[in-house]
Amino acid sequence: MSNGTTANGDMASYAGDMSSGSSREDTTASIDVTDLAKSFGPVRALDGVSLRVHPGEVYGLLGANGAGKTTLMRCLLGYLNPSRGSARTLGGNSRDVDVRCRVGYLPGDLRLPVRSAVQDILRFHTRLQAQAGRPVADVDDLLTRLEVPTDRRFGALSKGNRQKVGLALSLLADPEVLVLDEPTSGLDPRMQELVLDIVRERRAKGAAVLLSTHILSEAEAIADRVGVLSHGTLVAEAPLGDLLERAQQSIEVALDDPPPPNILDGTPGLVRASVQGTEVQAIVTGSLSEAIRALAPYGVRRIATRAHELDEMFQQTRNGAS
Amino acid sequence: MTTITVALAFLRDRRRSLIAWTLGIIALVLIMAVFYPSIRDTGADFDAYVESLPESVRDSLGISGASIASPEGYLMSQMYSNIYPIVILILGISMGSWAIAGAEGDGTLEMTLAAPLRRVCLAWGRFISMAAATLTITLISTAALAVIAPPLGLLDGLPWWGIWSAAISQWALVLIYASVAFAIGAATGRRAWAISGAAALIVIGFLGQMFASLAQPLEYLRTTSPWYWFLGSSPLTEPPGLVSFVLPAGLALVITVAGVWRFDRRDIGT
Repeated sequence: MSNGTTANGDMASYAGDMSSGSSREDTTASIDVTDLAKSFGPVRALDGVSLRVHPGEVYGLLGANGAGKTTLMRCLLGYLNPSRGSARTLGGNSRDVDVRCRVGYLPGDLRLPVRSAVQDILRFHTRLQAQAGRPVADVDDLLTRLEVPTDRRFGALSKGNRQKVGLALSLLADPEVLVLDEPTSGLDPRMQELVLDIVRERRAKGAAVLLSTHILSEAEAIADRVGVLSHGTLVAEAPLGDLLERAQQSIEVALDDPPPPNILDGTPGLVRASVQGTEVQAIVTGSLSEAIRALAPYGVRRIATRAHELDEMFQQTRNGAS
Repeated sequence: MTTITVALAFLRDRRRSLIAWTLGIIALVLIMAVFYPSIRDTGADFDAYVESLPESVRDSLGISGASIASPEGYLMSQMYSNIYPIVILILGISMGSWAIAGAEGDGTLEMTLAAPLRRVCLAWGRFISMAAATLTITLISTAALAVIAPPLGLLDGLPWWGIWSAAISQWALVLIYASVAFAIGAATGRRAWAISGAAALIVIGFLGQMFASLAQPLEYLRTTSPWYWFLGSSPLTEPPGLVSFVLPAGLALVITVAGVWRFDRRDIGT
């Protein structure tokens, strides 16, 4: 009944190919992370992560909380020193001012001085950009578009407006590299779409964007490629469509009439299935349509599906392969 | 240039708080000054009480060489070895510990460093703003004293530059402990450690220089205390010199360099 061995084997070899391929040096990449490891005492937050993001590309970093997404970004931006490996931006170190002035960053947990007026915060960053030799282009247009309330204290703003201020700061310098940690967090749907539009525009202008999210639909809407981080390891990297084809889904179907026990045998992507009277449970890799089509003649009363989290799925795959 | 931008922004963010500190310290100085005539008029009683104290205690209270009823004795005992430097020390330690560790603790440091700004420039900019704020408040409160003191006879017999000299020496004392708070905060990112470390050194320095003279074999230890460098140098009658200014200012600089060096190399926000 089960063809799980085949499916798992495919994914494990896929992850292994990805890992070795990313370790090659690529001088055209705007973001170049090679064999990056970071430990905090006994805790290994990142372990041998390699990835590249090229100009004009949006790379979505997926993973559950604690997977290592923020640690990777903080290593890339020079807040954290790698325990091993390297993380380079625009061919250099993000801590160098001549590199940093071309990089925009929005942290996941944005904190700015709560008593400061937004315009004072913007003025400070604008001045530093100018002193670094990369003056801001059209800040008024950016602020108007994002509807940033500049005349109020930062601490008086709602979470959504605070996020807008952070986004404006990250975009001030018309950056060539944009590192965004959950950029749509706290925004209403209209602003979420605007943020994604802005990211698309930056991509069209040739910026390399590294964007972390745990919202699959967001990654699907904007990312050219995604990487899945799990427990500090990049367990998969591919166009999102390819990953979704490899994703497992659970399906529970209640039927009017009991089907034969082997009704789902031969269904593409079937991992396992069980039939008990009129209740059918199955786990399928990729599309569920074939399984539903096979069950339809028995009168479908109810269908419940659950997509497995990508990082959970790939971690299981990795463990199974090792 | 970047360092100055950082320093000015740090001061601007704290302008309301610094104005409140300035007004409070001016009020403190004025209150101390207006009590002088009543102390002067009952000077004999105070002098008898002071004479009954051990010499080391008189030294540490800044009243070893002059009657408490005299301007010098009153200023040294009631101001420069009393709450006046303590209040400015609290301000200096508060700003010094917040400069890096406080900002790191509340998460604002991350976005500041997202700007094209070297860590070293950030650290020195904030140290300079702390030093400038404590110096400015010291000088403004001294100016207030200079205005109110003459009618009260509080500057009689002192050189015209006496209180300014004492202000500079006191600032050097503040700078040492504020730089300790700054450096511990910059090196560790822990504001509580910065405050407690600086506060512990203040207490050790003050009590140490007081009690070291009680035990003859340990008397030399007094000379290691910044409080002794300040109080033992007659700051109202002698201009800032090697011990009262150059030594503490130089030590503050060394401590700060060490803190900045560590800050430039460690992980941020862990």
